[in-house]
Amino acid sequence: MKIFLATIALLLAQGSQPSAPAPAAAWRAVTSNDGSWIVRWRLIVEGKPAEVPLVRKRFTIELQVESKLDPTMRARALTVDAQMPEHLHGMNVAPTVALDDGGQGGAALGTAQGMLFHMSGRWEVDIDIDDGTTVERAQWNIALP
Amino acid sequence: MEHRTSIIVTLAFLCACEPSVQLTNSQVNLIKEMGFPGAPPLDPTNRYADDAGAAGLGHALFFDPNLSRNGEISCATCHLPERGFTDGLALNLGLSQGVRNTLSLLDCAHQQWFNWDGQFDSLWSQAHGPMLHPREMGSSYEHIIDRVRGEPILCNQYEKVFGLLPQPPLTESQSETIVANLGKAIAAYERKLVTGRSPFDRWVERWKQVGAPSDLAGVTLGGFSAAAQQGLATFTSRGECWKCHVGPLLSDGEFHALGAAPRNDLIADSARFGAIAKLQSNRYRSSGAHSDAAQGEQAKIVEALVARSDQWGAFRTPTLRNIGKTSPYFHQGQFATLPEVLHFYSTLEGAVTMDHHRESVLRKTDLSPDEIAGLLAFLKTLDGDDPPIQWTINPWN
Repeated sequence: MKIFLATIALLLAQGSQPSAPAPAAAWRAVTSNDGSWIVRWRLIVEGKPAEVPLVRKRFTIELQVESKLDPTMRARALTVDAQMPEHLHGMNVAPTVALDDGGQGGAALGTAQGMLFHMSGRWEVDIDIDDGTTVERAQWNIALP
Repeated sequence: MEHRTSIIVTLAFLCACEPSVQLTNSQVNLIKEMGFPGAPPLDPTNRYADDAGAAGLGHALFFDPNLSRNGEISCATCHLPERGFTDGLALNLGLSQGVRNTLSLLDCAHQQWFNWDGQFDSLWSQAHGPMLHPREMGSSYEHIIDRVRGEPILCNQYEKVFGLLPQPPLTESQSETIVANLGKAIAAYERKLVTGRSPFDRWVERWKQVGAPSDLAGVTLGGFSAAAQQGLATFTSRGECWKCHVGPLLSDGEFHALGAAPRNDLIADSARFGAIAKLQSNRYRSSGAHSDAAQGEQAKIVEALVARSDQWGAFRTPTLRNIGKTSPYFHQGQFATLPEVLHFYSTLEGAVTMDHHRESVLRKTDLSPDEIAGLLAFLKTLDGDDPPIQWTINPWN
C-alpha cells in the first residue's frame, strides 16, 4: 500500500512539473589548472540556486571536489577567494569555508558562505585545493552585470 | 530660384543640428539604471530612522554649536545648507584644520558606507564621529549629555522620543545609550536631506517613456541639451566614468585608489585599509550592542570585512548627484573645479601610485575638448531640486 501511494505521489509530482523546466543554476564543472582535480560548483543566492550573485548581497558557493587521477585522493582543505583582475583587487570579506572530505567514497563536499561581490564586472573565483602535500587551484569567471 | 532657396535652407538646418547620439545596448542598459533614486532605503539598524520626533530632535542637534567643546561649532558649520551641505573648503575646518574634504550630506541616506574611507557603516554611527573628533567639535559624552539635559528644548524632544533621561551619575552603558540615541536622531534628520529630480532624471524618465531608444535624436527636453546627450554618451563609453559612477546614485558606493596626489605636507592616507579595523571596533557599528539590527545583513557584512593591502589609499566613490553644488572635489579637495577633475581623468597628470595599490581600471582616456565639454554639460544636469526648505533652516534662529 505504501509503495502504491508513493508511486501515485511521484506520478502526481511529475505531472505537476512544467513540461520544459528552465535549466536553472545547474552544477558546473571546472578542472584544476594542473588537471588533477575536478571541481563542481553552483551558487546559492537568497537561499536558492542561481546563475549569478547579486551585487553587494552575500551568497554561498557549493562545491564538490574530486580527484581526476586517483579516486583515493582527498581534498583535505579548501581556500575560496575571488578577485577582480581588471581592478587588481579582491573581495572585501572573508568567506567561511567548510569541507567534508568525503570519507571513504565520493567527492569532498564544500561550502563557502558569506561570499560577497561588492562591484559589477568580471570576478575570478579561485578554489585552492590542499590534499595535505600540495595545493592546486581551480578557477572560473563570473560576470556580474 | 525657389528650388535653390529650398536647398540652402535645408543645408542650413542640417548644419545647425547637432549630430545624433547613438547608444550601444550596454549604454542603454547603464542609463536605464541611472535614473532618480527615489526614497532612501530603510535602515534597520536605527528604529528611529523615520520617526518624525527623532528627525525634529536631530534637526535641532545638527544646528547646535553648544554640543562642541568651544560652543562655536555645529554640524552645520561644515555642512552648510546653502553650499549643498558642504563647506566649500578643500580640507574641513573645525577646532583645527582637518585632513580630508567635507562630504555633502545631500542624499546621504542612500549610502552603505560613510566618510571617505567607510569607517562608519550607518548614518547614526557616523553622526558621533565629528562630535567627538578632537579636530572637529572636540566634544565628550559628558559634555553632550549635559547640553541635552540642560537645554529644555532638546531635553523635551529627547524624552518624547526615547523616554526619560536617567539621572546622574550615569553608568558608562547609560551614557553610551544616550549618545547612540542622539546619533539616531541626527540620522533621522539627515534622511530628510534628499534632493528632488535633476534635469537628467527628468530626461531619463522622458527617454524611458518613449521606449529608451538607442537613437537619442528625438528625445529632447528642456534642461538637457544636445551637448549633455553627447556627454552622457561619453560618460557611458570612452570616458569610462561609468566603471565607478553607476546606478541611481552615479556611484558604486565602493572604494578605489585613484592616484590623486596628497596635498602638500599631508602624509599618504591609508583610507579603506585602515578604516576596517576602526569600523569593526566601533561600539556603534551595525553589529554592536546599540544597533537595532545587530544580526542583520549589514551587521554580517561588517563582521566579515577584511583589510587587504589592495585597499590601501582607496576612497569611496562619491555620488555625482548635486556635483555642481559640492566643489572642491576629491578626498582632499585636490581639484577646485570640474574641468580640473576631467583633465585629471583624461591625462592622469600628477597621478601617483598609492603605495601597495595600483588600480588598473583607471587609465588615460585622452578625451578631446569636445568630449570634455560634453561631459561638463552632462554633469551640470545632475543637480537635483533642493531638499524641503523646512529642513535647511536653522531651527534656533
